[in-house]
Amino acid sequence: MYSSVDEYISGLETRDEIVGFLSEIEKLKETVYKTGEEGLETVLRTKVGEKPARVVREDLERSGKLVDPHFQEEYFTELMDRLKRIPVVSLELAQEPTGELLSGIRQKISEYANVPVAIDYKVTPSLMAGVRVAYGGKYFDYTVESMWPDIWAVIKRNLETRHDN
Amino acid sequence: MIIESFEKNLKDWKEVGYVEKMWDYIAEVSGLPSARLSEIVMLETGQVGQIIALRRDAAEVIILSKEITRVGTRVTRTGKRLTMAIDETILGKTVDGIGVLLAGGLGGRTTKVMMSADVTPMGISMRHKITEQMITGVALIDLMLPLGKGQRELFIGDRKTGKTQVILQTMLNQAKSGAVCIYAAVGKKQSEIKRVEQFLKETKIQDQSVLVAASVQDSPGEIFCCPYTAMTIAEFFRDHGRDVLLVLDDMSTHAKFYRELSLILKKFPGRDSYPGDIFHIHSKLLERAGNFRIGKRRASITCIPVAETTQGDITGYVQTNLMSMTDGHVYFDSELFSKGRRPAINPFISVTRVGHQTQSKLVREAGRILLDLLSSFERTQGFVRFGAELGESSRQILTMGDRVLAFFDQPMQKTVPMPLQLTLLALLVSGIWNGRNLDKMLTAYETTPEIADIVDGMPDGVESVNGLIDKVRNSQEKLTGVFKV
Repeated sequence: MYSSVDEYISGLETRDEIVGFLSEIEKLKETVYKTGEEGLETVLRTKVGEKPARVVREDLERSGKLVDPHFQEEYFTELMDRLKRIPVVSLELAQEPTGELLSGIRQKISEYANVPVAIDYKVTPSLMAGVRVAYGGKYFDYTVESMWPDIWAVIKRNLETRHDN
Repeated sequence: MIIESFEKNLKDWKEVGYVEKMWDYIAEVSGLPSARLSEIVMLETGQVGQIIALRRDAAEVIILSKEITRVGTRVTRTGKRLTMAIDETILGKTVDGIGVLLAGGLGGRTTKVMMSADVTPMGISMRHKITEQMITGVALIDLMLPLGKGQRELFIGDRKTGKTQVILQTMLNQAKSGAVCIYAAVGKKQSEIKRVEQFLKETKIQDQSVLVAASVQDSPGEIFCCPYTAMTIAEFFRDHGRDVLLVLDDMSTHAKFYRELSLILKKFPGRDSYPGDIFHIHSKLLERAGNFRIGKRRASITCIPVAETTQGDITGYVQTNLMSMTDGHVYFDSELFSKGRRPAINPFISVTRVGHQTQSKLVREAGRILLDLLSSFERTQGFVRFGAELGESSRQILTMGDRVLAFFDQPMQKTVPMPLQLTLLALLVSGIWNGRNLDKMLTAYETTPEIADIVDGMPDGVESVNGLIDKVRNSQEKLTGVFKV
C-alpha cells in the first residue's frame, strides 16, 4: 500500500465516506478477470469518483502490477479489510455540526485512541444540547435531555425561591 | 420476563453494540465490551436475545422472537439472565417459550417473584427420599410401573402410540389430587398445543395447570428455552410447598433444535451431529426435578420428559442419554398399539427405578401378580401362533390375559383411583368380573357415594392380594349389585 491511498484513507472523516469508498472498491474488485466495458480501466473512469480513481490507479501503477489480476484481487481485498477495521465513533447531536467541529472531535478522539477514527453522526433535536457518544461498545450520554430532570428541579427551586421573596 | 426500555438499559449500562451479521436467529453483535455469557441483551427494536457465546471481538446472540432483525440494529445489555415474573395467577394460563403470556390468555398477571430460568440444581442436602407414590390414574402404570413423587420417568415411543394421552390422563389425576401440572410443548404443532389446551379446559383442570407452548413455527431460541421456562415455573410452585407434575413433550425435538442452533454457531458436531454438550444441557435440566425439603415441608417436582423414537429404536443417541439421566422409562410399543392394546405400554421393556419403594406391600404384590399374568399370557400366545392344541390351563391363562388387557383399556378422559384399581383387580383375579365395561364401573364409582365408600375402604388394613380377594368376596353382593358385573 502506498502513501497516496494511505493519505486518502486517513482523510476519510465520516462513516458515510468510508462506506462510499468501500462500495467503490467493491465495484473495482468485481472487475478483476474482466475486460472491455466491465474491465478495471473502464470502471475506474466511469463508475468511481475522480479522486479515489486517481489514488487507486497511482497505487497500482507504482506497484508495477497494474495488469496482474491476482495482485489486483489481493490489493482490493486488503483495502476493503483495512476500511472495515477503521473504528467508528457514533455521535448523536442536537443540531447539525459544522465540518470544523466534526474534524475537531475526530482529531481529539483519534489522538486519544491512537488510531484514526471515523465519525458517524445523527441529529436528534430533542437532545436540546450536548452529545451522546458510542465508541468501542461504550456509551456516554452528555445531553441536556438526560440531565433535564435535575436541571428542571433546580430551575423550579429557583423559581419558587424568587416567588417567595 | 420483564425488561426496561432500550433507552433505560442503555443509560444504565452505558454499553452499546451493533448487529454485524445475522444467520437465521443468531446475531453477531460487536461492541458490548463487558457483556457476560447467558446475559439477556435488548435490541433497539424491543426484541430480546440471549448471549450464547462470547468471542474476542463479538458476542453471539440468539434472538428470542420471530421478528426480522436488521444488520446495524443497536443492542444494549440488561445485566439480567433469563428471568420470569411468576405468581399464582399464572395457573390456567398459556405462556410462550420464554414465559411471556400469549395473546388469548386471560391476562391480569401481577409480578411477584422474579425467577431465573437457568439455575444450578439444588444440592443433595435439600433433597428427600422419594416415599410417596404419584398416582397417574392409569392402572397399568400405577400397579406395574409405579412412579414416585419427585421421580423423573422418561416416556418413550414412536409417534402416535398414545404417549400424550397417558400424560394427559396423569395430569388429570394429579390435578384432581391438588398438584400443579405444567405441560411444556416443545416444538409441537399448533394443532397439538390447541388439543392439550382443549383437554385442560374440558376436564376443568385448567386452573391447576400451566401450558408452556413453543410451537414449531416459533424461533429456535424460544423452543430451546421452553423446557427451562417450564422448570422455572415448576420451581416457583415447589418453593411454595406444592407438588408439581412437569411434562416436557418432547426432549428429542428439543435436542434437534439445539443441534440446529449449534450447527449454525459452527460448534463442532459430535455423534449424529449433536453438539458435545447435549448431555449436559438435558441432565442439568432434569436434575432440577426431585423430592425436596422446603423449610420443614416436603415438595416435589415429578418430571416426565418425553422422547420420540423411530420405528421402535430406543438405542438412539438422545434417547439413551435421556434414559441414563432419568429414574426409568415407560416404553410405548407401536406394535402393541397397532394390535389395539391401550395404553400401548410394554411393561417388559419399561423400567421404574424408584417407584416400587413408594408402594405398599399390597400394591407391590398386585403388580407382581399382573406381571406374572401378562408374561404367561405373552408366552401362551406364542404357542397359539404355532397352532398348538391348548390345554385347559393355557386357555385359562389366555382368558385371564384378555381380561387384564381389557381392564387396562381405560376411557380417554377417565382415571381410575388406586382403591378402585385394587378392588377391580381383586374382582378380576377372583373371576367375579371379566374386565369389560370399565367405563360403567367408573361411572358407578363416581356417581354412587355408597359404592365409593365401600371401594375406598377396601384396601384398608389388607396386606395381601388374597386378603383383598377375601374382603371383596365378602362384599360381593353389594359390589356386584351396584357394579352389575
